[in-house]
Amino acid sequence: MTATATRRFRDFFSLESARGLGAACGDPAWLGELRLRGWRAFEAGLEASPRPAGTRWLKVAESWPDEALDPGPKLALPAALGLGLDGEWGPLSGAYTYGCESEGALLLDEEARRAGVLFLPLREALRSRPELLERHLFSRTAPEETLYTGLHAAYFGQGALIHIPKGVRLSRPLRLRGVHTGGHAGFFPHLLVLAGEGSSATVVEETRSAGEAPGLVSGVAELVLERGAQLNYISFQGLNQASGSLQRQSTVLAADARLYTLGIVAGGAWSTSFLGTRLDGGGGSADLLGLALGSGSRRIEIRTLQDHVGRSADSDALVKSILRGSSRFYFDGVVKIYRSGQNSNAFQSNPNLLLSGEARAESVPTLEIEADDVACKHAASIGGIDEEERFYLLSRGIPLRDTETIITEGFAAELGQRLPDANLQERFVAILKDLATGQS
Amino acid sequence: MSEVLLKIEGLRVAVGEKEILKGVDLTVRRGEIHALMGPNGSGKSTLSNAIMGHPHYRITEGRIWFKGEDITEMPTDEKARKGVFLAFQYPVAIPGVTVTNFLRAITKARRGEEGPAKEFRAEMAGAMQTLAMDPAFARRYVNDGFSGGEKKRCEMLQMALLKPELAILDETDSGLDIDALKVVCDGINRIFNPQMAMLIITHYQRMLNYVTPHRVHVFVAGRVVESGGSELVAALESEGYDRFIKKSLAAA
Repeated sequence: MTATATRRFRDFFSLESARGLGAACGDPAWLGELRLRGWRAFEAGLEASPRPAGTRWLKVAESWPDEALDPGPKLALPAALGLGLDGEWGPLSGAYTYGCESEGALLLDEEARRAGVLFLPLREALRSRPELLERHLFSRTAPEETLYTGLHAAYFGQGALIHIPKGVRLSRPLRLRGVHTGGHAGFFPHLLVLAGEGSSATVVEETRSAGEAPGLVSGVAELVLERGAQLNYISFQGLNQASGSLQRQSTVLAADARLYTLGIVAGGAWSTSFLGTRLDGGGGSADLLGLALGSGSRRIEIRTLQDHVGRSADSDALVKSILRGSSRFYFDGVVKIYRSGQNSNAFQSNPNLLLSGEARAESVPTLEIEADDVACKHAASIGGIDEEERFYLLSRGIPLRDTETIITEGFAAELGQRLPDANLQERFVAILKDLATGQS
Repeated sequence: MSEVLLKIEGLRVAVGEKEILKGVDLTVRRGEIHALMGPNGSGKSTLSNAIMGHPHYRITEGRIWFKGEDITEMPTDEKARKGVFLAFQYPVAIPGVTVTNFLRAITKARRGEEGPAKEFRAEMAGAMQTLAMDPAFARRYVNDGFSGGEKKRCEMLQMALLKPELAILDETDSGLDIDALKVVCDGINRIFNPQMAMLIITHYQRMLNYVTPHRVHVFVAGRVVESGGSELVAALESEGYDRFIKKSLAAA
């Protein structure tokens, strides 16, 4: 942290204001303690200069211009992002849109209610289900992990709790939209998903900006999958061009649980996301999918962690980037297999497509394997559009300007193919098309 | 005589500093099937790529005319939309793009409009049947993980839907076993009609046992050294390319 950045952070954040927020949330004692831990971790992070050797994480955030830390004007929740049980991901079971302070209504359909699904704004959950939160909140992401998780723990208050009871299979997605509405230097959405034994659900979490002012968004998602649960978790970062985003997603899978996670980064001046998965029980499997769309001077970092504790589990990370302008992408993928993780398969792949001579991608895979009976494979590629592919399309009459679109959509489509159901696959393709129209 | 579809005059083409085509002359009329036969390294694929406008092949001299229009420097996509088609010897994969979506995009480009989806699906299914292709093929990514035979069938499928006026088939027989060759040649015979012309480029005569050419050209060292009727195929079969290579050396 540079001296000016440290000073600016101190201008906007303080233990007093964090405590004030806690009082407004009606923090129980244990949560007050968490906020304090968070603040201390943040302070320690500010003082640690330069950052500890060996941590590549947050390379992007550190290059963010200090002046971009700005409370901006306070805006209303845009009506267009508001209500209704439908959207890009099709008909929904539940929807919740919230801002930095304002809370929109939360909708949950009859099917989900009858099945006992809990979908609550975080503050309401603190009042009505404190036992669930006390047990699970910050159980997957400790406040001390980075200075930003510290800041998040000190300041969080917005977000949601989702609990899918044992055996319940929700057919339609639950969608959250966290909207940076300004008025504060930071926005700290927190999502806790508890997927009960044998349950199945799809959760889509979007992060957006209400206006064009810069904002710092530091979100945490903690996903807990009980035995045999299946969770499809899709995150979409569509912040404005001035904002910075830090997303930390931590998942734990019990035996035979199944996780599909897709993170799409399509906005922000810079963005850094961590997709961590710990396969605790045996026989689980996790697909970690990521798509980074860079344009202008955007900086994107995606880090994955495939942590194999249980035996006979599978994990597969596929992270792609499509980079235009002078954008940059850093991929840092770690596969860790403990001695207990025998008979596991862990794959990792990071293809990067550069559509401009000024765009750059970097790929750093790491394998830490203590078990001896495992299969691991990693691959990375960085390159532009293949001229033979382009010529093939031209030879079929496709105009030059359309060849890039077709090849790029094809490049990204493989991610959609890895999603577990036809609806999600189709929706993903449609969203890609929309994004391509906006970017090219 | 019918209209001249393709006319090539004095075509010289270089790859890097090396000249590969050394003055090619060729005339193909509507309703004709021409076979261009030559040994490996004679420049056959260079000719097909140069006609289509591949950027690695530099035309240093000569002209290419299509239906009376000089297309020597016309952009590749424009030539394709006007009705020139090249079936590649080694078609590349387009990962992530399904055969269906690809065919839809190229037919739209060629026809200038997107017809009703239902009609398109029926047309595609019909063409696939002609080529004895499994309907599941349509959901796969273009040429991605295809066998040699599947790639060639996919090329023929595109030709069937694009309905080109001039089709250049570059070694379409290579990599095919005898059964696949028969299926592909049957498809070619069904697709061919008097409104179009075909230029079949091949090393062997075996494809020409199924598709009968009206004219045969022997291509050696970057030039057409002899032209004739289908009897030339038999001559090549019995004598090989030696006589023609000698002839080319004598002429050089």
